[in-house]
Amino acid sequence: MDRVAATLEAVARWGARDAAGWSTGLSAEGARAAQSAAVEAILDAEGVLGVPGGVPPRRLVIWCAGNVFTAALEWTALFASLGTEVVLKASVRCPAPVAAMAEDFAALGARAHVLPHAAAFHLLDGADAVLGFGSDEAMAALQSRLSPLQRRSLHGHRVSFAVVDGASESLDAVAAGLAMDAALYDGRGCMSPAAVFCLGDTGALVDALAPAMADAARALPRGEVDPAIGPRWRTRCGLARVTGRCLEGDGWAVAAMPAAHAEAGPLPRMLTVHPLRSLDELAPLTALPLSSCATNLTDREPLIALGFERACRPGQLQRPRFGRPHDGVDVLTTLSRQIDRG
Amino acid sequence: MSSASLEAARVRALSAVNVRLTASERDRAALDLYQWQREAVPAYGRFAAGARPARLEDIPAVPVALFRDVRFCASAAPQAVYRTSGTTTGRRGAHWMPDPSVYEAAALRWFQACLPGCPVGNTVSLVTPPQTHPDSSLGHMVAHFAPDARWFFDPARGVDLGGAWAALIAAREPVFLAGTAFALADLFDLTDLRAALPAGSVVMVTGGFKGRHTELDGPALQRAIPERLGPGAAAVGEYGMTELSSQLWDTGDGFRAPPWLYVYTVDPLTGTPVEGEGLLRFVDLANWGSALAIETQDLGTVTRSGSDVPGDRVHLSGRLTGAPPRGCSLTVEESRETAWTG
Repeated sequence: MDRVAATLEAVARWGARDAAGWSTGLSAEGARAAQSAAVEAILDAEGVLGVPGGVPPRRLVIWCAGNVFTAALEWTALFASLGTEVVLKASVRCPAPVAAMAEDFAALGARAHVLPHAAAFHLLDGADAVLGFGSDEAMAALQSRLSPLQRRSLHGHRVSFAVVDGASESLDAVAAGLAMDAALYDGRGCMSPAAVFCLGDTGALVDALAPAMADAARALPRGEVDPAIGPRWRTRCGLARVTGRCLEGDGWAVAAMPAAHAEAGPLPRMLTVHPLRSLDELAPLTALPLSSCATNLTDREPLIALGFERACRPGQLQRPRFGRPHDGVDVLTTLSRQIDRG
Repeated sequence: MSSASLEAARVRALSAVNVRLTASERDRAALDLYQWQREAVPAYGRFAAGARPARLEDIPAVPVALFRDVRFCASAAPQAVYRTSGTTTGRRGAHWMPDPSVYEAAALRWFQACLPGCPVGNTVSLVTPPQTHPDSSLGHMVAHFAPDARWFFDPARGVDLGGAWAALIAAREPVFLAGTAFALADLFDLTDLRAALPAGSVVMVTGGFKGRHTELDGPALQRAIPERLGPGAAAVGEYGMTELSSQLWDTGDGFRAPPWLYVYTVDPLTGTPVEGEGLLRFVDLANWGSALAIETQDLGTVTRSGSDVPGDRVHLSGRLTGAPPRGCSLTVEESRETAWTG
């Protein structure tokens, strides 16, 4: 069997497992939905597999984050299909999905280690490339341990938003997409919408979001929530009641308030909506490490000009295309060495 | 709000901050005050969103963090504002008061009830002086207790060690030494000096060590007080915050709440009242001109003093720790010594 076929089989094996038992902190339905989204993205774009972007690394260490349990799958598949030996450094907070991944890709040379961050640096020995995900501090620590010869693509904290035309006639579809973006992974990870900016009146969007959030909560119930989220949740809802409007249901909220109160940290299953007179008011976002933007605007260029690495339809925020650049970085090429054939 | 209504509410509050107030009188007054604040404090009315509480636990409690963004005040021309230090977030909360008379009366009456005979005439203060920082509620309180206090602290320069120790060493009459835990730790950490305070001296310790590093933790500070200031110095604890007009005093068996202050605990995540340890909420009749019910970020338990007997006691157990960082957070904090290889 060729490596691409073996990779596809490994992806399918991992996708056939029950993610509900992996202690991801998500609900059983939420974990399975995230698992399916990750697997489908690869199976829908299998042509990406086995296509090198240069000379692939012999051994790649993937430093996994603990909050988005599917994150390593696409990179493991991509590099395993090219013959790279993939070493996965799993988070001690959520090791099971990565352990399962290593088992399913074992025939392709993958293996996993569950170690605390500071005890895992020896895994870098012998690796010619490192792909890292985590906090800025963790990535800085990782960077300091790498030799100049080790290729690296390290991805620290990023934040995503949504920018919506509130006068659109298809607000129900937009709302359903945004609700699913907020529901998948319960607001964890760089591709969760931290806030929704709405051009024009927010009223219709807020009205459309409330039933969409309720539907999403029924389909994908919210998972575990840290007790410390409680006061932040009540503060945010309270601020919305004082300065705008707040609609709350069982484990979800839509909080509308002036853009002056925008925050870059998403809360699990809360969508904060801020009115916007023009895109010019988004200028403060340029100071943030932007990732993706969900939008129903026809012209997405101004969002890219603000610094977003990716603009997509609502509902696709958490479903990035397999083989895309990550945070604007072509990971495959970055971690591969190039031979000039000319 | 008309000035007559405002004055009537102030007079009612002044009468309520009475050490002989019974629990049933307090409850009635609190529910009446809530009804008044819903109309008189526009921001609180919007926050409360039409709630009709039947008991004190149902009065909508404002999370203290909301004081950073919202002005809760019954008067358009408040005569006093006190601000938080802002050390946690860099943004300062503000408690606006129509006038400080009820705050001052409440503070003084409960202080005198808990610490009768406290030698305020000979006060050495290690808290922020109100002369230079009029928005410090703690400084205002100490100045109100002790108009002739000597001040040996400046936020920019820290403790005036020479001046403070000289005053303590020279004391021939009982002293009231008022300080934050951090200032007192500096007083003891940064010199080897000792004093023998006369019997009857009182050392007020307030505040914790959040976000600060010191050699002395809380218990060590309690031990250091008699060691460094002599057996004549009795340590008492003060619990207060900018957003709360009343204070609690600990003279040996937990922090005693004044009879016009109702304390209860809630589940941090849901905000539902709980028995035993939880997030502390206060219903404070002295917060007559702002928001009578607030939710703190402190954890503790409450011991009831009995039916219609004032003086519930609060036992603090720390601050609610922050939730894990959102976004692509990972592993710097991952220090568990578990390891797994697969």
